[in-house]
Amino acid sequence: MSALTVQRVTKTFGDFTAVSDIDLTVAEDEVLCLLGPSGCGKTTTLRMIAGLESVSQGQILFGGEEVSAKPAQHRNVAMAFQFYALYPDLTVGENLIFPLAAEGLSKAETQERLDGIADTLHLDSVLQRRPHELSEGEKQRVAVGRCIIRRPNAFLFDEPLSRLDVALREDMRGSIRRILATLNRPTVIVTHDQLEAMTMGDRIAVMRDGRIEQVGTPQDVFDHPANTFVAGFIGTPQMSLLDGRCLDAGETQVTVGTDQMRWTLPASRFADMPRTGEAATVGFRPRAASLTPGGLALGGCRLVLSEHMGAEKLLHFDWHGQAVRVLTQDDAPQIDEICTVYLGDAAPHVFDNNGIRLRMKGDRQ
Amino acid sequence: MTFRKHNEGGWGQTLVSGAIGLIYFAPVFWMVLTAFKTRQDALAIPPKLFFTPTLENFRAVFFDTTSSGELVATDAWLYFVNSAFIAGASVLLALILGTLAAYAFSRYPLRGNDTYLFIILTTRMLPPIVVIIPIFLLFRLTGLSGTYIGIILLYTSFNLPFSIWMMKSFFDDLDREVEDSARMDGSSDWAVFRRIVLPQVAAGLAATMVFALILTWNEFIFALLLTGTESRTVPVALASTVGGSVGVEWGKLSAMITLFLIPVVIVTFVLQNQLLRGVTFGTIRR
Repeated sequence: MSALTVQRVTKTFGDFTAVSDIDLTVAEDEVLCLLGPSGCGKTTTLRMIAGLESVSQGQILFGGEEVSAKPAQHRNVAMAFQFYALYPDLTVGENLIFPLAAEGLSKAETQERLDGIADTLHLDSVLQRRPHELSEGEKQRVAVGRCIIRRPNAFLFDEPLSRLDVALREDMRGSIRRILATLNRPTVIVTHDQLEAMTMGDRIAVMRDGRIEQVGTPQDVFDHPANTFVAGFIGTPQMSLLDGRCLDAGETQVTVGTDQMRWTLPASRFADMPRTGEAATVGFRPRAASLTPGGLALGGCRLVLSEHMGAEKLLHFDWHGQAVRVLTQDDAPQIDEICTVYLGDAAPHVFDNNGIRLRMKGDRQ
Repeated sequence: MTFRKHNEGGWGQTLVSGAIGLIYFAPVFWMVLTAFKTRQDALAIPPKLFFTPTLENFRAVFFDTTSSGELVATDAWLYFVNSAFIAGASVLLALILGTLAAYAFSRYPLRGNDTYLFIILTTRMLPPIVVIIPIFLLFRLTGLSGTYIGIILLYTSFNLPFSIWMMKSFFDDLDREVEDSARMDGSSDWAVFRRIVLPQVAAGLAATMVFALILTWNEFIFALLLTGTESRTVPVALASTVGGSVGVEWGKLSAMITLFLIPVVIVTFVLQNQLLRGVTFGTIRR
C-alpha cells in the first residue's frame, strides 16, 4: 500500500501564500488531475510533492511515511516536466536510462528496461540522437519514457501535453492513459486544460488561489459543481450563471429570480434549502437550454453573437446585463432579435449567497 | 534570373570585409615576415615582400654566440616555460574557482547576492597602475615577490571576477528544470553539476578560458615588477630585448613574438567552434 497523501500543506513565499492548507489523497492505482487557471498553485503543489519546493506547513506522506523533510534525490518520485527537461548533452538512450543509475541495476536489467520503454513509446529509431534533434512529439515521449522507466513511489506530470499540437495531443492523451493504467502507482497530473483532466484523471482536484475548490470524479465535478467557480470553470461551453435572489422558500415551492423573472422549483427537490431574501445564483449548461418552448423560461434575451462550432451553434444572449449561452442545432435568430430561452426538463443548479451549491436530492455524493 | 541567398554577402561586401581584415592582419603579417629576414632585409626601405628567408633569428632567440664562437643557450626557454606555467596555472585556478563560485551565485543566491557580485567586480575597476604600489608593498611584506606562487595568485585574482561574471551569465541562461529533473532522478547536487550542468556550459568554459588566457599571457606591468629572474615571463623578456647595445634587433624580437603568438593561436583555433558558441550564447532561444 503506497498511497500519496498531502496533509494540510501550506506554501508561502514571503508574504504571498501560493498554496493554502490543502489535503489530497491519491490511491496506489489512481490518477489525480490538478486542474486550475494559471497561478492557482497547482505546479507549486506538484513541486512540493516532488521535493523541489519545501513545505511551509503540513506533511507529505508516501504510503504512510512522512517525506516532507527529504530532498528530491531521496524521495524516489518520477516527474515529467512541462518543457521536458531532457539532458541536452546525453543521447535519447542515455536520457532514458539516467534515472536507473540511482537504482543500481545491472547492465542486462538496464538494457531490458530500455528496450521495453523504447518499444512502448516507439523510440527505437532515435535512441542515438540528442534532444535537439528530436521533434516536439518525440521529446515528449522521451520525457514520459524517462519517467516510467523507473519504479518510483509516485508519478508526477506537469502539463504533459501543453506543447503538442492538437492532433498529437489527442493521440498522446490516449497513449499516456493506457500506460498509466499499467503502472499502479499514485499519479498526479497538473493541467490547465479541462479536457485533459476529464479524460486522463480518475479524479479531478479543481484549484483556485492556492485552495482546492472541489475533488471528485470528472462526472461528479461536471454534474455537481461545488460552487460557482467550479461551475464556470468546468465544461465547455461555459455554464450560464445568473445572479438573483431567493424570493421565497416555502414548504412546497422555492422561488428564485430577479426583477425581470421568477422561477419556481418544487421544494422537494432541494436537499439544502435556500433562505428567503438571500442572494442566489442560478446556473445551467448551454447544452441544457434551447429556444424550443418547454420548462422554465427566460424571456427578453437579446442575441449578441452566434458562433459556429461545427455541428452546433453557440448563441450568446444578453439578458438584462447578464450573459446567457445556448448551444443549439437549430438555425440562429438574427443578431439583436429578442428571444425566450427555455430550460426544458433540466434542473438548474442553484448556488447560495456564498456561491456554494445547494445540494439537490438524488445528488451522488 | 538568379537569386542570392538572402544572408550571403555579395562581391562588394566580401571585398570591403577583406580590406578591413587585411588592415588588421598587416602588423602580424609584417612581424612574421620580419622574423625570417636578415638584419639588412628587416631594415630595408622600402620594405621587402620578397626575400630569402632565414632561421637565424629563431636560433638567436635560444642561442648566443660568444666572442670565441661558442654557442651558449639563452634563458628564452625558461621564459617560455614560465609564461606557459604561470598563465596555465592561474587560468586553470581562476576557471575552477570562478565556475564553482558562479554556480553558487546563480543557484544558491545569498541575501544581497547582487551586492557581492558588484563588489567582486569593483576589484577590476581600477587601472592596474593604481593598484601596483600597494600590491608591490604587499608582495614585499609577504615575501611573495619574485615567486611563482605570488604571480600565479595575483593573476588568479585578476581573472577570478571576470570568470565569475562570465560563467554566471552562462549558468543563468540554463533551463533549471533540467537540473530539477536530474535531482529527481536521484543524482546528488554534485552529480547534477558535474554530469548535467558542466557539459551544457562547455562553450562558456572555453570562451572564458581563452579570454583569461590571452589577458594573462600578454600581461606586462605586474610581471615586470613582481617576477624575479627565475620567474620572468616572455613579455618582460621581450622588453629587455628592445634596448640592446646594438639597437633594436628587429629580427630577433619578431622571432620571439612569433613564437610567443603560437600557443594562443593554437588554443584559439582548437576552441574556435566552442568560442563562437560561447560569445553568441543566449542569442538563440528555444
